[in-house]
Amino acid sequence: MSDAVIIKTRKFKRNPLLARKQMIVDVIHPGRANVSKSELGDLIANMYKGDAKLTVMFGFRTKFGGGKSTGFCLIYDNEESMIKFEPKHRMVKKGVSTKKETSRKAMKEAKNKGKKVRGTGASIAKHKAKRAALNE
Amino acid sequence: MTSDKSTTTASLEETLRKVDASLLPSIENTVSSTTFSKEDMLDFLDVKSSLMASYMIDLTLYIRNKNSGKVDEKNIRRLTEMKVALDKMRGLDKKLRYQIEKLLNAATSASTFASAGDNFGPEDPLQFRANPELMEEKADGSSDDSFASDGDDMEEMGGKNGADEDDDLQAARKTVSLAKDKKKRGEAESENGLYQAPRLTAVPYTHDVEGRQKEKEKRSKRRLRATELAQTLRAEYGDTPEQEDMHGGSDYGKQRAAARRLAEREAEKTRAEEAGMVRLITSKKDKKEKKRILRMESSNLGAISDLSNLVREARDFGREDGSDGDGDFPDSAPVEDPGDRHHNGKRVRSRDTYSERSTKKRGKPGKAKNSLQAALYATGSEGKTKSKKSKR
Repeated sequence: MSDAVIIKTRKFKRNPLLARKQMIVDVIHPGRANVSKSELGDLIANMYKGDAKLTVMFGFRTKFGGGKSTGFCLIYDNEESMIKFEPKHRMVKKGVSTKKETSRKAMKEAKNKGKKVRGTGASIAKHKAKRAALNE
Repeated sequence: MTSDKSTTTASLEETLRKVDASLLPSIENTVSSTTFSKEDMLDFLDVKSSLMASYMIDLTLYIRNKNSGKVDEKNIRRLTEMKVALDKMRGLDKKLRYQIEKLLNAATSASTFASAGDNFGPEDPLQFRANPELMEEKADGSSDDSFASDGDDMEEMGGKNGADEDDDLQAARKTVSLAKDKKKRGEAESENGLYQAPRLTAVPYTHDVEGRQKEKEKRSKRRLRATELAQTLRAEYGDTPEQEDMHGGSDYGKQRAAARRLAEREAEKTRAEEAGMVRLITSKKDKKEKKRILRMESSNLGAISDLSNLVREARDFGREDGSDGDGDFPDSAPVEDPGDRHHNGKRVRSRDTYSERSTKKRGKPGKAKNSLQAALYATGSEGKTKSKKSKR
């Protein structure tokens, strides 16, 4: 635990289409099993002067024999691009969004409810809103 | 206007003269030279050709009437009837095409082989020869399917018959397909739009089950011979000179090569992962393979000796060339010289009879009851046989 952790980044690239910076991270951690993603995220955010809340770490694999791990890192420019482009499971792991209800029963109930409405139900919703406004 | 008319008429007359010059003599030639009998001809083709001819005649009549302004009902009706009939025949023609081609090929081959006098038909050794026409580019039109049948084809299909038509048929084919140029170059197309692989040459049938089993056996024998135990024994106790391959070590390098190949594949995979910023999944098969090679690398016991088949190793010991000895028991021990027949005043049985005799007195069976025993007793060089030879 007292051993220093060395972080090296490779293949750094700025991806303006997805408004982020992406890179491969090599971590050398002798004596430790591995380094947690949150800790690594803080360290890298400091290195690249980004926001720790906007850094995403994933795909970390420890090499055979221990002491060395490799993974990927993305640093987004702003919150909305992160919400737009990042896959949902990673957002859930980070804690930004919560997982949608996907139990089989709930999905079937939602589907059956949707069967009663023809189309998207936008015009019905508009009609209901107008009615509510009239009644007030 | 009149000059135009005169030029057109002049050109028309010119073309007419050319056609007369080229076509008439050839027609007269064929009609006079070949004798057609009604049985030899295909009815369908006969009808088609005569229908075409009468259609042409009526068409010229129609054009003449049009020019002079007359309207002939019967002419028009005849024309429409014939047109409908020709359209119907087109479909039939498509279906019959294969049969007709077969007949033509049979006719041509019959003529050529009758002259050659050799074996023909299924025994012909040349029937699977390479067909370079099929192998060339499809720019000339594919072999069978280039004529999606149109009316143009019927001219060459209809009129002539018999073996001498073959060259004409081929030439006509080429010109028709070049003129059409419907297909994209280099693509085979079938009639229902599915891809058909090009058939270039005939290949012999090799789906022999027995052969495959023999192959498996041979492979396993080869693998056994290559185990390190067998090799070291052979090197120590055999008198053949040592062999070394180009890598310096014998077959030990095989597993190293496997590990090297695996490392290459792994490197390729990591390169792909890093390029795409994704993690790829190793399938169960790949995991097993990796584990196996890792085991081979770390501890070499499996390569040292194939313990599952100790018997066969013992038996194959000394046989470097890979002969398997027909799988029966090994050769019996050599006949000893008769001078040793007496010992201690008693007649001594010969060594092999002694070992073969089941001796219940000794409590150990002398006769081999399974292959392991046979291998152990009969080789003898390992010193496990209880023979009296040692006592002498």
